[in-house]
Amino acid sequence: MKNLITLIVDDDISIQMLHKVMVGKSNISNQPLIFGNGQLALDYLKEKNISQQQYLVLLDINMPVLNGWGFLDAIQHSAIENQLLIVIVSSSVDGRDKVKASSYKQIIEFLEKPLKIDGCNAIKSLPEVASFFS
Amino acid sequence: MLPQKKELNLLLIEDNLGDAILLREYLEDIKLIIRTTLVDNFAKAKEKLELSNSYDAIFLDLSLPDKDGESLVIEIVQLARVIPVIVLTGYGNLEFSIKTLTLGASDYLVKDELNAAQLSKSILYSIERKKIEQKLSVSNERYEILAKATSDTIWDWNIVDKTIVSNQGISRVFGYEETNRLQSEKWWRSKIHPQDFKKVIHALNNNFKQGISIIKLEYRFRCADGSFKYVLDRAFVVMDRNRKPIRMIGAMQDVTGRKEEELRLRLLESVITQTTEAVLITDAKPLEQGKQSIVYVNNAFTAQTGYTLEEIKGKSPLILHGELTNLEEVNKLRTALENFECCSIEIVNYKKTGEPFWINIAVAPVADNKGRYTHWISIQRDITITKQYLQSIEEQNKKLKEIAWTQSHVVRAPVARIMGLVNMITDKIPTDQLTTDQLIQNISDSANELDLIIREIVRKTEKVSIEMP
Repeated sequence: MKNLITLIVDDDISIQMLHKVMVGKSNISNQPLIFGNGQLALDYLKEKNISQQQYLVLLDINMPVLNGWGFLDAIQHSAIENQLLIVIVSSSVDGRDKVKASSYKQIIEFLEKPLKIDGCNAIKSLPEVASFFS
Repeated sequence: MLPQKKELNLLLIEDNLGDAILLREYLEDIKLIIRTTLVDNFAKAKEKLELSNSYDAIFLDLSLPDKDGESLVIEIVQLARVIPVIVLTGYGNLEFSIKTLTLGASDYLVKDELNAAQLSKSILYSIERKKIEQKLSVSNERYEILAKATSDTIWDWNIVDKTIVSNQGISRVFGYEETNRLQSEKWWRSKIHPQDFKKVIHALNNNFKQGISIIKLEYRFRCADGSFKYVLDRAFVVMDRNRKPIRMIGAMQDVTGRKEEELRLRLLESVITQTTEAVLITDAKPLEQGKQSIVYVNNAFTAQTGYTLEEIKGKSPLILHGELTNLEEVNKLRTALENFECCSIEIVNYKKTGEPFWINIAVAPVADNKGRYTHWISIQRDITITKQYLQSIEEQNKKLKEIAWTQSHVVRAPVARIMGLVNMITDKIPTDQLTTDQLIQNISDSANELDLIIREIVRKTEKVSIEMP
């Protein structure tokens, strides 16, 4: 199994807990890293600055300090822009959010909350990440 | 009278030579230069008359070897045309001789009573009478032709006898039986439209009173089928020495078509004058960049813009444009005008006071009867209020969409959380961090959060009231 670090970025503590349980149960990751907003996640990634390391980010949109869109904008043209595989996990059911999401090359999927086992399995089978779980 | 020096050229149709010689002798006694041509049967007479009609008079014996009696007289009169025919007869034939006068003979002479004086008198009288007859017949014929040529109904009213004689127009135009060509004044009065009756009689009496000899009246006249026709009646009044009218001759012209067209046009015109939509008419000169000039605006236009017809006549509709006028729309209109197409645009125009207003302009070209475009008609509807409504609705719609978008995240967050937590309980997914009671407490908190959020949305949308102008 190749090395894929999973990040959960969400300000809602209950959601953080739920997502942690789900990624664990679906064998995506037993030790996901959890951040309360986009800025905290961004700071971590920049500080670590591990080249070649691939990250799977479960990203919420609506968050304080730096929201999902802000996070996405910040990573564009940065050193890590090609190391991130991002799945938006949002409570939004607004189609315009999905349209907007499609304009970011790092986004590989858009899921609506709540995240369930099925959703996690769907993530695992995405072509961009499938090789990490085979 | 006859020119004295003229030679009289007579045709004598007589088979009895004795009678012929006798007549010639009498003729020689007359102090006139006379030349006679003698023929002794009908065939020869016919030949002569067909060859020449230069005879001044014809003497006709009633019994010829090849024709006699009534048919002889009729045929000779016909052949003679304008030449007077004097019948020569004996005592025994007197009764028939008198009848020949009704067959067209000018006079008859009893052979046994002939004398120079009587003969000369008869010749001269016959010639002269024939001339007068001829003139009368020409004049009559002229009248008949005129009466046929005109579509007017010509009438002659004897005011003293209270009778009216009309020409065929009374049947041709109004459909009455020919017998109605002679009618009473009362009959005519009964055919005037009740609503016009007072006006007509009043005008007629006024004319008579003032001694005006030319009368012109317009009224509705009842046709045989009960319908009415508009007529223009023009008459000349003949008066006696005391200037009392005794006779009137006139012509009644059917002007129904013109009158109905007039009423139709007046009705159509009332649409333009009465409508609340502003109407503007310009000429359609070859387009030199909006150089058409206004020829008409209605009252609604004045009410809408403040410009009266006097003020704006001759000016270009461009004076209504201003800073906020959308030039793209104006150009769209200009292109349509160049191609003589109908067009409808919505632009901002300016009132005389300088106040801008939204207007819908619908323009259509008007062609003359030869198909050439001569004018533009433009109907201008003030749509300021509609525009304001629309703008206001669009603005509010945008605000509501924004609220919906931002709230979709906020509202759905606790919903998604509840769904996730419930999922944990139902699927009995074990977790070290939370007990079932804690999960339920979490769900309850999320439900309360959701309640607060929904109340907040309702409060916000209530504030977004559409402001109607």
